[in-house]
Amino acid sequence: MQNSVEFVEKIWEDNQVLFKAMQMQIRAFYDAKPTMDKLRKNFIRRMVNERMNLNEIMKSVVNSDLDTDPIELVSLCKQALDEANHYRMVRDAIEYMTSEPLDLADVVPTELADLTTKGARVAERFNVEHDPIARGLYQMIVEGNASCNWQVMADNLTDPVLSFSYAKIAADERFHAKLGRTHLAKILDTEEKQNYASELATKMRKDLFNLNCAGNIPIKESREMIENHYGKEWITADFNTVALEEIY
Amino acid sequence: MKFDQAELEKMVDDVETASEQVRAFVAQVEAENETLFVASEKQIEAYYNGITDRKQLVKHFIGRMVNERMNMVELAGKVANASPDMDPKELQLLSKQALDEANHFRMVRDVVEYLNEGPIDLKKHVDWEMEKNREIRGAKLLAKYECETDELAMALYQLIAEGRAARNWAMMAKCVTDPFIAGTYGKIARDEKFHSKMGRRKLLQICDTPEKQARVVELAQQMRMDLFEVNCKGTLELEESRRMMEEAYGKTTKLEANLDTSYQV
Repeated sequence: MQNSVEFVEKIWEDNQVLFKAMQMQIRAFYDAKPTMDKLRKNFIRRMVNERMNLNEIMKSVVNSDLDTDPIELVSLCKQALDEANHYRMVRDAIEYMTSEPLDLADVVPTELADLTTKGARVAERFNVEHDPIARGLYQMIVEGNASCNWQVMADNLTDPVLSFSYAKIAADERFHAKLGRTHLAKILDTEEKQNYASELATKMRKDLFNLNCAGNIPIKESREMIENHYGKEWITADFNTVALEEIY
Repeated sequence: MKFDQAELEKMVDDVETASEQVRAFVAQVEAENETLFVASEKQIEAYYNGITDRKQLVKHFIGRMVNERMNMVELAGKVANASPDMDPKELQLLSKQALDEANHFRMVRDVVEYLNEGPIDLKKHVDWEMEKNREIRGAKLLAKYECETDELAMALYQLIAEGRAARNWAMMAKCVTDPFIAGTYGKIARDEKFHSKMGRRKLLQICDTPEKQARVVELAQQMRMDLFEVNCKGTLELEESRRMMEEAYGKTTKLEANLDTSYQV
């Protein structure tokens, strides 16, 4: 069996190609000069995703074992507060951008019903609220990816208010990914658990890539990066990819 | 768009839309809590002055520790089940409260281990408290008054129960001479005060009809009585406090159940 810290670092390293491939797709979305309506929809989706994260983390707190270390509970609640802050920040960003109030009662239920474009769906699918390994992986992979994504947005948005807000969110997400890594390094102390974590990590990465393709512009070069690193059979969903030269 | 404690503090003090009548009404509800708060403080003071055994103190704090955990779980449940259109500010404040309760759970655990001069079996104690004593803990009232789905009851719980908690923790900080414990409990008291302000903020927003105000008066009366009985079980029965309560709010009814602290520490 591998040392748990080294094992977690290996999983983290193995995420990097996926993160890069998805960053390219997000950058492409912004560089394709989306209309205000498309941008608004994109931000609403991200806003509701933050709220879904909030719900999932709070469910983990509610269902935590009675002997869960209080420090672990503090970390989870800190993450939940961050997600609540992000939800508010993105709502404010949308209202700032469109100069009109956002009707949450109208947009939130519709977005919650959409199963295809939100990373937070991964939390539900992998039973994060009841499975501490899945939860740690979710923090490391999904939140780690989110930190890269928000940073790309912060770098690409020229408006300083939006850029600053999104950079702050990116920093918080990096912290959540670190929480996941720390948590996993503590609990992945048997070969069985490590095997289970490896299997789950692969499934989570695949789901996340599919969600990212559905929510942004699926890029041909991203797909090639993924296939070269993780294998040809890795991508099962069929997306109409666009070559980077068509955008730039 | 930066959110820190100062921003949240500003948020709870900032209810510009409430009318003068609503402000006066909420101020009156707050003023009427005072007898409960003083009666509870007296009980705490008498209880702590009577403690001679370190183990008794450890068990007492274990109960308080688990109560903080119960608060955290209730708050987390409320956020997880919030309606889709809940104001994001509201979600921020509730999440902040859940984080505070988690921190209090950790802080009181640290105090317990400090007094115990070593680690405690967390699972054993949380299990015990949840099985034997949860019905007579303050946090139980969150479920009793269905605070998860009733925003008025939740706001009132924050105003009264958290307001009382602020005073209780401050009194404990005063009574215990150990500086580590006093400092910890002083910090908890400040957080509880903030939660109480959150309740006031919400009441200022929603108590805008005679019907709602009548309901607040009725619920506040019940909640104060419940909290007093919880305090009697958690500390001690003090005749002076009961008399104060009855003079201010009417006849009280003693709880049948008693805390079971027959476990070993």
